[in-house]
Amino acid sequence: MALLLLTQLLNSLAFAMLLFLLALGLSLIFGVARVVNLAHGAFYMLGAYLGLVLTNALGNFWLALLLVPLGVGLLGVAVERFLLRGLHGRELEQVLLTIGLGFVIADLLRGVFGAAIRSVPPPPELSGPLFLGAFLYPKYPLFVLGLGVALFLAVRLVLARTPFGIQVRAVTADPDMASALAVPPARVSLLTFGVGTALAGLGGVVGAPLIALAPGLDAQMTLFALIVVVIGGLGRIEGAFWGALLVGVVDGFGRLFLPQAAMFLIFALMALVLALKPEGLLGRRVA
Amino acid sequence: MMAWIPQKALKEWRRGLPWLMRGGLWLLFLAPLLVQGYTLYLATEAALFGLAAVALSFLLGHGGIPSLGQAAFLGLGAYAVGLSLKAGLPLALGLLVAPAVAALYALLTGLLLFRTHGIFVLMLTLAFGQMVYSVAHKWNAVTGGDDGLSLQGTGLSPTLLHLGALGLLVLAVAGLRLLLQSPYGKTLEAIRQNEEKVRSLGVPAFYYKLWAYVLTGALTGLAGAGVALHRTFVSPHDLFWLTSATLMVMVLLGGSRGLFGAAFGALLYTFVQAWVSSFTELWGLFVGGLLILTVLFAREGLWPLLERKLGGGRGSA
Repeated sequence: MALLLLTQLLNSLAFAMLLFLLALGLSLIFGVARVVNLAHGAFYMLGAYLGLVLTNALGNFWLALLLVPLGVGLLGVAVERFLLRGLHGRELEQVLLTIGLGFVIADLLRGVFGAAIRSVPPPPELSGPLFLGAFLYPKYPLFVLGLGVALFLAVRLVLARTPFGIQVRAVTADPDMASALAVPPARVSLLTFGVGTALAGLGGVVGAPLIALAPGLDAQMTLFALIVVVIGGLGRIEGAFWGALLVGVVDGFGRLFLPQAAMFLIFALMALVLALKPEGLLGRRVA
Repeated sequence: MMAWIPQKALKEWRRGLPWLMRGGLWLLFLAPLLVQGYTLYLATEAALFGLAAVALSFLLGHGGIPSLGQAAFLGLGAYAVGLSLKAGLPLALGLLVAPAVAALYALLTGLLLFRTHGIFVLMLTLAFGQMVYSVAHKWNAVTGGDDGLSLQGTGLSPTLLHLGALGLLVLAVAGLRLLLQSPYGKTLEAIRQNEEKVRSLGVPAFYYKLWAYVLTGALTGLAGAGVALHRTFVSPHDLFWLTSATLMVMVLLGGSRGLFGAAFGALLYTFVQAWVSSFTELWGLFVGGLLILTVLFAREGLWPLLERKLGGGRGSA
């Protein structure tokens, strides 16, 4: 029983890190560009399918892990530059545009790859179990777990110390003031959108061996990311991290003990947070 | 432009134009009765989705509340009427239960929703809407899960159903327009424009928004019941957020303010979609593409645009 619980805990944490990748991108983009990117799940799925194709074509998962976020990020930059920028300051229109974009991407993927469910094997280096005495656990989820934590620490460092990170924080805090201090909000917003979508693409490549690819996954991932940022608080990476951990663990143990009501537990959690602290557990009030 | 028309006649024309356009819209909805068949089927569908779109237009265009969870109301209304009929209740009762269930859901979620503001409300309507979808999808014992729910022996003729749907739509537009003229409606508009200011005058904005949301929920639930009777089938997939986005497209396409635009948008969308679906199955691509185009190029919607063109350049809208 204890081993089962430990296994499920690790599974939940690996899934939580995946959610963190998504929620982090969503949160960064919202903070800087004030856009809730509802195409986020579609970018995730695009990353997953591109990763699948590239891994097969190049025969190397690691190369795909590097190239796919770059490609998805470039697409994100193009979207910000050519579609969203013209709607600057019009929140509702921007959100609707990203929904439309999400449907278009998801449907094109279905058109190209079909509606079949595809499970993706982990790379050979990470396939198979790891033996820890009597405890046996697959390597891949551990890799995802490590990657998530490393990324969390790295992003925190980047935001705290690098010039770009400081610009991001400045624009998040007050775009007008940042602009007055010669920080170009438009460029920061463009780059952040690229980074955010690249994170979604990375999530796709990393997540494909954990979660089988199927139509509708995009909506599910967008929904999970939304719930995480609502619970954790939008606009702060700590909120995305702890929110993702909470949602991941509740989802994982919910599936284990109450398989019928797992999804419901998450919504109940969200409702509870909203009732007690509408701005999210670690959120600040956004005007 | 149009300098050859006497000024007085032009003025009269402009004054009468909105009424002419509204009359024309209802005639467009009535005309398929002459043709019957598939055209009538589509027109009934358009009237029912029109009812849902008008409700969303009231909420979004006048209440300033963006909702991406309207599919949940539609679905709750549809399942409510379907299950009532299955339980042997009379149709009239089923048609009362449907809006009541949807309104109750609106009340419960609204209490949480309006603790937040702006774009968060949109995210939460979406999240709660997807919750209803996943319940409908998974709760096989009640909803039939993926197989959906079939309705038998409603015994309504297509003509009767169409007249009923259209009657509801006309009533909803007229009723909501009256409501918008009332002190309640004016206050709701004021909240949309500047909530803080209105709140500082001592108006409980929370409840104004909550009741608008509940009313919208009830109307949309009724529309959902109509759709279920019309199609004699309820599928959980109609509760997916694609349906909510479709309603959004209808509203934005026609114009989110004035309510007539939404009805017009629903009519236009339904027929265009039927035409498009004859050569592609990628429905999401169509809805998504249309949404992007509408947002980018038809910001205020086609109805006000039409009014302005017909009115000779400068409209009153």
